[in-house]
Amino acid sequence: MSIRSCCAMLLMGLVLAATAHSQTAAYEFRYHTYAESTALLQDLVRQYPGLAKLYSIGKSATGAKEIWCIEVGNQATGAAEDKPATYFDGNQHASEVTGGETTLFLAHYLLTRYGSDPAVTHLVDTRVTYIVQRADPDGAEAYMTGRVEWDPESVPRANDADGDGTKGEDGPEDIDGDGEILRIRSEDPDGGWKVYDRDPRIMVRREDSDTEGPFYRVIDEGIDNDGDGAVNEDAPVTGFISNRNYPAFWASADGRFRGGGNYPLQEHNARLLVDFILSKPHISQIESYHTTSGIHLRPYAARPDTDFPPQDLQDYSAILAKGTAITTYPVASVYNDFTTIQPGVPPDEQPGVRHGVFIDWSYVHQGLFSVTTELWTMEPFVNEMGWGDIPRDKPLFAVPGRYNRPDAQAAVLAWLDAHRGSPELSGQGFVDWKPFDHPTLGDVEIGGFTRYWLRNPPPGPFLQTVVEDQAKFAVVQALTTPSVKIQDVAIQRDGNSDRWNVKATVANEGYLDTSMEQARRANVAKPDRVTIEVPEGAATTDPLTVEFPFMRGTRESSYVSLYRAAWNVVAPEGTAVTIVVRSEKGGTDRRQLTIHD
Amino acid sequence: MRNGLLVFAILFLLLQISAGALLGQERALGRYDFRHYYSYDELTAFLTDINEAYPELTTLTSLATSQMGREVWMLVINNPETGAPEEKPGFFANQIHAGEVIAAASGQYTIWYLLDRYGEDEQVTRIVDNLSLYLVPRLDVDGAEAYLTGMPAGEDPNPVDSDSDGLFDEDPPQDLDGDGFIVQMRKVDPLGEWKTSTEDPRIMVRRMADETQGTFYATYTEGIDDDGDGEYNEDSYSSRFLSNRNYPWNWQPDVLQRGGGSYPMEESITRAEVDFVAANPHIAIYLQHHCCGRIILRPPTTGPDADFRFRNDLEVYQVATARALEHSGWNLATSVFDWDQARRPGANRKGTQAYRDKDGNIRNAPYGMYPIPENNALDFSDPANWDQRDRGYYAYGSSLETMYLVFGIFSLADEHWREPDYNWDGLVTEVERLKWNDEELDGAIFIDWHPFEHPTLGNVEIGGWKQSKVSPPEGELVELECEAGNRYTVYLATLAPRVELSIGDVEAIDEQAGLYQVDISVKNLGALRTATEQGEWLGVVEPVRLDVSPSANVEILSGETKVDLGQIEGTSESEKTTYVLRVVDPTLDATVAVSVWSQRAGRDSTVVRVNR
Repeated sequence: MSIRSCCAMLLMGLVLAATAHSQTAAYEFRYHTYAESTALLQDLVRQYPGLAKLYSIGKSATGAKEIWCIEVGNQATGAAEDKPATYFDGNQHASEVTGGETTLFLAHYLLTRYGSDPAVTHLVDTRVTYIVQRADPDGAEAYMTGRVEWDPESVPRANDADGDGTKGEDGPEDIDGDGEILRIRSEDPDGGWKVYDRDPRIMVRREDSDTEGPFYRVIDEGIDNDGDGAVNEDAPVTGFISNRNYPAFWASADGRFRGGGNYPLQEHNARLLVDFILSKPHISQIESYHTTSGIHLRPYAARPDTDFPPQDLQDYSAILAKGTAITTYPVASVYNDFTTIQPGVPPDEQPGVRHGVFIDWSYVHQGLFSVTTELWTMEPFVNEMGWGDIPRDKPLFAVPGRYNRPDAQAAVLAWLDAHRGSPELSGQGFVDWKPFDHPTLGDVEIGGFTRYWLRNPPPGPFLQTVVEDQAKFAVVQALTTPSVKIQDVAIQRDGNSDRWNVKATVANEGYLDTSMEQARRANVAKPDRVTIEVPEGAATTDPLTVEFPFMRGTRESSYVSLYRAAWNVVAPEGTAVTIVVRSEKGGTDRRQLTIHD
Repeated sequence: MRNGLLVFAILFLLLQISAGALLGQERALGRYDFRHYYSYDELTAFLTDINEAYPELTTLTSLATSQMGREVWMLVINNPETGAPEEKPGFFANQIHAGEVIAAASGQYTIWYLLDRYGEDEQVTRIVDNLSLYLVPRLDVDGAEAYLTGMPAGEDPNPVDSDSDGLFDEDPPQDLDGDGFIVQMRKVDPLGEWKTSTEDPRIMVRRMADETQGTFYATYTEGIDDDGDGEYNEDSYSSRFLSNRNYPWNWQPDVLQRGGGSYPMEESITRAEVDFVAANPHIAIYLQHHCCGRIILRPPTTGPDADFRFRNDLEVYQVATARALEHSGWNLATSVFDWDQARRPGANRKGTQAYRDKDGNIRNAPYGMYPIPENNALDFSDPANWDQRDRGYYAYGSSLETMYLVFGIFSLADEHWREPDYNWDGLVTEVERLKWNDEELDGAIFIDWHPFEHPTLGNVEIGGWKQSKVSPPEGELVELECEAGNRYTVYLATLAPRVELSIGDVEAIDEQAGLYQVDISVKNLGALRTATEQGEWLGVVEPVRLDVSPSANVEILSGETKVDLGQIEGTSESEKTTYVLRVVDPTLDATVAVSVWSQRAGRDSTVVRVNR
């Protein structure tokens, strides 16, 4: 086939792909229930059978749902396990449903742009992308629908907060039928809340010194389901991953400060994620989508940077800076920038430190390039309306209390007032307090922020911006994985005999090294191996495999580090031998050649 | 082993015929034979039989199902007449390592001992009545079966390709000479890495780097090169074993410490064990049996005693482990971390260790326990001793640290059995083992080297130690060791905390006015605190609660109806509270119901009559 006809084929392919693209382009930027997202994923693999596979990594914690993984990679260009791979997940935390939408859109983005977007095409052809769409499908569903669909007694960690022998029988619900579970406030001289002096719609905690009322009780919207006089006092468990139950730094040295559970990976879904990642050793990058704050977070969560491997720190900074350029989100270490740290207290004894965090496990134990992105932020709205008394020495995400601060909420409310009725809000934002006759509490008011505002964007353009930005960066990120390739093979006859000198030159054409510095520190890095495979009747006096501790990545410079292997082969002319370079994280490349002068 | 099975089968038959009368006289141990190691089926039969013999006192349950489909049996001993299991201090004992079969036998012996003596032996009766006992004679049921039979214990769901050739378990060892044992092969080889010992030519020792003259050997495990790759027996039936390094606390992965696995609680069986312990917060004492060394072990397993946050807990450990030496007749009581140094030949005992000397005296126990205290423990708060921290034995992810540091349970381990250490240097050398083999065992544990024509290696010799892991050979030694381990196990159970109400006489202050007073307090009759200080500090053990509920005819004028007593030290009494009571109608009965609740020290309740 000539080069020209090749190009023609490719062009036809592009046209076909573009047509397919236009058919599915009407992507709806809204929140998808389990049934809807499952149908979308199934549609995608039906439309792109050669590019995507859909499977479950296991049943969810309630046993009622599958945790879907969509595997994206061109099956015609080689087996998945021979290619470098990146892992994405969303919605580890139940209420952070934007994460599950980001992963869902990412799958759509990669598949519908294949053939038309050169970067996406390159990614899908040369690498594998594992997308675990929703890590906690049960919890996400409960957040989106406001309904708990499982028996609250039946799930792990179910508790009986009111000690009446029944677990989770009195949770919140939407009692005024407006589709939102908001807050109830009622005047009560003994109440723990009062209105904020600058905006009476905002409730703040009453101080000990406050004696002048009125004071309020504030609870979640709901009724007294179990008739014990208390409202919402025994809510069912609605989240199944704490992100404090992973093995790394799960507890402080003395046991006092602990992450979740009696032991690491007691949480069913978290264990499934870990088992899945461990079963795919070619995964070298991890991205987990959470909300909120608008920030790309890197390890460590439980340690300061003091002992951070320098090369890894440099790679994190450089790659995540590409993220900032696309998403506007700054880069931070969980411990240094995202945690309230008390000066002079050792890391293990910091009460605010997060133990047993996912990316600490995947980076520290497994040596994988690991990021958690906290999607969506109120910062632009606060910027627009003015910071007022909010301390400006830190970005908003690092201000203690963040969106729970009344001054921040007031700025956000002011922005909402200025954009009242705007279609881009899709009716989300703040519901003004309105009177309601509660069956047991009598006259109360119901109001507050809706579920798609402070912690998840409203459906529509806001959600669209978030997921599109992340998808663009995801492609850049996934393309930084190492990728080993055979550069050159040379054969030379040794004198006038059947002895041949075979030389192979290999290189890592990817951005990152074939192992992170942390992987080598933790002793989990596997060496890269170049092997010659010779048939019966041929022999080599050298070891068949040459090992390199790791191969340096390009980091986008024009210099490529070359690695050489050589063998003396005794074989008749015309013998076919194969050179294979195998890198756990950088993929496999092979070249067959015939021995001749 | 096969002989043992046969003997058991015959015994069982005889028993059914003669109802045990025949054997009762002949065997000190009644109907069960504790002179051999039980296969899984025998163990199941033993436990089922025990359960049928003592249906009120015992419950047989499965803690988990193994990878190969065996049940991990747990026998619960509880007297329902004295309360439900969760109302009493729990005692959890188990055995973990597959090859340590003597340790499993010991746990099995304790089950029989407690039930057989119940109602006759005062101490045993007290234990069974006051505690709930959870006894797991064998956690690694698959591994133990493979060890006992020398064969794979079933279809391995996770086989290991030890030689990375894509095939699994394709080159196991074989019993080439058909003597029933897989031992070693040696072959004269000028480049071999081994030579015979000058002390005894049966012993193989490493050739030194500078040695060129002499006879050298290559050694192999007995067997052929099944897969023809030039290596012998390099891919045998190895499945995942329970490591005692996969518990969650202070865990390290496989790459840093063998046995750690990929993440904590990857092992399904120990995971079920931890789930069980977590679900039963009344468990006060934890014990894990091991072999070998005749040692009583306590935490820490990853640092010196200076890591103990609470001196009180440490002191109780020191006393209990030293006393355990007395009961067991064993040699050494130590933390796991300090243990290592004492295993080196000639090494001095550490100041933190109690031990038995040549004359049988227990030395270095806490002051006052035995005549020779000689406490020379290092003070780790002194920087001069900090380098000692590097001289320990690190066991990350051990059961002891999880159970003590996370669950606050008083937790111990042990090492059953040790071969004779003739010169008392703390190390059993091969010379000593051979002396024992020759002089006392009539050659039972060593097979003398004998020539053999190997299909690929040619002239070799076959011989060596019958088992590399040294439980005692079947026979009387097994029974004696079970007895020793059991004495110490029973002693540990006697330490359990136990709350009891202490109510003084009801005194009338003013009978006309119906005024009375009574002193109420709570005693802890057990040696252990109602919670370890660690458990209290972690918040995993709730405070002891006193509940004083007057009947309708009584009014409490002074004293709380619900009192949080905190935790009560071992063998001591909480502060007395004086209750002032008023009887409303003196013509009617007036009573007060008093009860005490403890999470790990049981419960007690009574009704106090106020008038008449």
